[in-house]
Amino acid sequence: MHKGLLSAPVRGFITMGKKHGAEWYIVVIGAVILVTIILSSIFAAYIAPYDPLESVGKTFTPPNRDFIMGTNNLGFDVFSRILFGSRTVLLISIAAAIFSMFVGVPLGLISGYFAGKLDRVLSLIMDSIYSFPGLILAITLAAMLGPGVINISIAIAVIYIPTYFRVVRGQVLSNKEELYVEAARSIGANSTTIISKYIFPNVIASMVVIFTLNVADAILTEAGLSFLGLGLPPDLPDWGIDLSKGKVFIPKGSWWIVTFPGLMIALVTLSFTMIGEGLSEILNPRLKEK
Amino acid sequence: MRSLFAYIITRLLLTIPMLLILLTIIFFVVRVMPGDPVKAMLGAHAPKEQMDMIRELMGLNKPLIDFSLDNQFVDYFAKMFRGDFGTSYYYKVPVWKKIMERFPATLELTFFSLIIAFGVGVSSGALAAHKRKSWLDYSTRLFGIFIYSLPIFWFGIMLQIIFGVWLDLFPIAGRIGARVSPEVITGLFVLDGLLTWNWNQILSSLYHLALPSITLGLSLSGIYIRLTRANMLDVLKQDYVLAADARGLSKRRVIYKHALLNAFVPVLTMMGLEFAILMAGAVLTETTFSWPGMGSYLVEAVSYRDYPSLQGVIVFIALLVALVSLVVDILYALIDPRVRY
Repeated sequence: MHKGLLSAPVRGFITMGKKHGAEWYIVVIGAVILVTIILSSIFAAYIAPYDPLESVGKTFTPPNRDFIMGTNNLGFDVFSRILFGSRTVLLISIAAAIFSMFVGVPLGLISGYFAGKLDRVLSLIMDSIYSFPGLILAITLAAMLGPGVINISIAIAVIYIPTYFRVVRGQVLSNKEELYVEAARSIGANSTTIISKYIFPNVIASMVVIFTLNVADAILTEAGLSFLGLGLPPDLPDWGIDLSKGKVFIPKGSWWIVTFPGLMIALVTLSFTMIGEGLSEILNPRLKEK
Repeated sequence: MRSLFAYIITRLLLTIPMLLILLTIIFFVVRVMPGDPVKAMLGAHAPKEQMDMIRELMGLNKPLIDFSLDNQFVDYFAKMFRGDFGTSYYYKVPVWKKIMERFPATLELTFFSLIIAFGVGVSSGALAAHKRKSWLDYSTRLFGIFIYSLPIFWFGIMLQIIFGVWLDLFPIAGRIGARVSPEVITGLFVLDGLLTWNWNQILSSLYHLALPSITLGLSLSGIYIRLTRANMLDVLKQDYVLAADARGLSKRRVIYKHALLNAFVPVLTMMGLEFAILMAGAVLTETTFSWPGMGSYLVEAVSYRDYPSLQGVIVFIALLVALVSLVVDILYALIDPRVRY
C-alpha cells in the first residue's frame, strides 16, 4: 500500500523526464527552488531567528554563528530581514503580473477577434508602451502615484500589459481562421461564446508561460524600483531597499549586507525563468529544435 | 531603389503617431499626480499670491484638456514642438541644457556596454550553435539564463566589492579621476581625449568606464547569446549553407562567414527593442556607479520632485526610442531587400 502510493508520482516523474528530456528537469529544479522560497516566506515568523525590525546585535557584524548572514548598519539581522523581505517582493511582483494579465488578455482577445479600427488604435498604443523602456515608465508612474505596496504593483503592472496583449492578439488572429471557429459561427454561436469557449482555451498555454516569465521580470523591476528608493516605505523589509541602503557601506568592506539580498533576487528570478523557459519548450514542441 | 525610398517614407510617417501617443501618455502621467508642483517648487509656506502668480505664469491654472485651444495639453505640445523643455526647479537651468550635459555620459557608457554585449553575445552564441549539444553549448546557454536573472545593480555592486574594494584595481564611482580636468568638446570624454590628444584623459576615462560598462555589457550579453544561437541554428538549416558545404568550403568558413552574416540580420533588428532594455539597464548602472548620465538625472529629478526635469528626460528618451527604431528599420531594409515589400 505504502509502496504503491509512493511509486506512482515517482513513475510519473520519470516518464515526464523521459518524454521531455532536459526541459522537464529544468522546470522541476526551478519549481523546487521556488516552493522552498515561498514556504520560507509563509513561515518566516517561525524560521527567522530575530525580529526583522529590531536591532538585535552589534552593528556591522560579519556572518558568524549567531548571525549567519551578519548584521547591517543598524544591527538588524540580515537573514531575518531576507526571510521577511521575500514576502514583499513576491506579493508585489505576483500581484502586478496578475493585474497585467487581467487587463492585457481581454484586450488582446477583443482586439484580435473584432479587428478593425479598435484593433489598430489599441495596437498602436500597446506598441508605443512596449517600445518605451519599462523601468523608466515604472519609475515615472511610481513617482506620480506615490509610495505604497498597491501603487508600486500598479506601476509595474502597467508596463507588462502590452506583453499579454501582443501574444494573445497574435494567437487570436491565427485561431479565428480555424475550421472549428467557423463551424461554431455557422451554427449560430455569438461572439462572446466563440471567444470564451473556442478561442480563449487555446490561449491559456501561452498565458501560463508568459505569466511565469513576467513574474521573473517583475521581480527585477520591483527590486530595481526599491533600489532607486522609489515606492516603498523605508522600514519595510525588502531586498531592493536593503541593497540600496547597504550600498553606502561597500567601501567599508561590509559585503554581507548587499550580497545576500541580491543573491535572493537572482535566485527567485532564476527559478521563475527556469519554469517559464522549460514550460515554453514543453508546450511548444516546434521550438524545441532551437 | 524606388521601393526603398517609399519604404523609408512610410516608416517615417508611422513614427509620427507613435511619438504623439508617447507624448500624450507622458503628458497625462506627469500631470495626474498627487501633490502640487508649485508647492514643490516654492516650498509649502510660500505666500499664496506668489503661488498663484507662478501658477498663472506656468499656465497651470488652465484646464488640462478641453475643446478650446487654450489648455495645458495644447501648451505642452506647442512647447515640445519648439523644443522648449522648460526650466528645472532644482538646478534652475533649462532642462534641455541639463540633458545635453548629461546625455554624453550615458552615450559613452552605453556605447562601450554594447560593444561588450555584442562581442561576448554574438561570438559565444555562434560558438554554441556550431558546437550544438556539447557541454560548451549547454554552459553558454546556462550562462545566458543566469546572467539575465541577475539584478544588474547587484552584479555591479559585486564587481565593485571584488575589483574596487578587495583587489583595489578599478574606481567604483565617477567618470574621470579627480586630478584630471577633462577638455570638453563633445562631452564624450574618451573621444574628446582623442581629439585633443590628451592621454591622461583617455586613460582615466577608460579606467572609470571599465566596471560600469562590463556590468551593463555582460548583463545584456545573455540576450545576444540567445538570439545569435537561435538564428544560427535556423540559418544552418538553409539550402545555401548546404550548397557552401557541398562546394567543399571548410566548416569554419561556412559557419563564421556565410551563416553568421545572415544570422546577424535578425539580431540587428532586435537592437531596436533591446534599446529599451539598454536604457533601463543604464539607469540602474548609473545609479550604482554614481555615473552622471541621464539615468542619474532621472533619479535626481524624481527624488527632488523636479517635474520639468522628469518630463524632459522621459520625452527625450521617447524621442530616442522612436529615432532608434526608425534607424534600425531603415538599416534592415537596406541590408535585407525582402523587407521592403
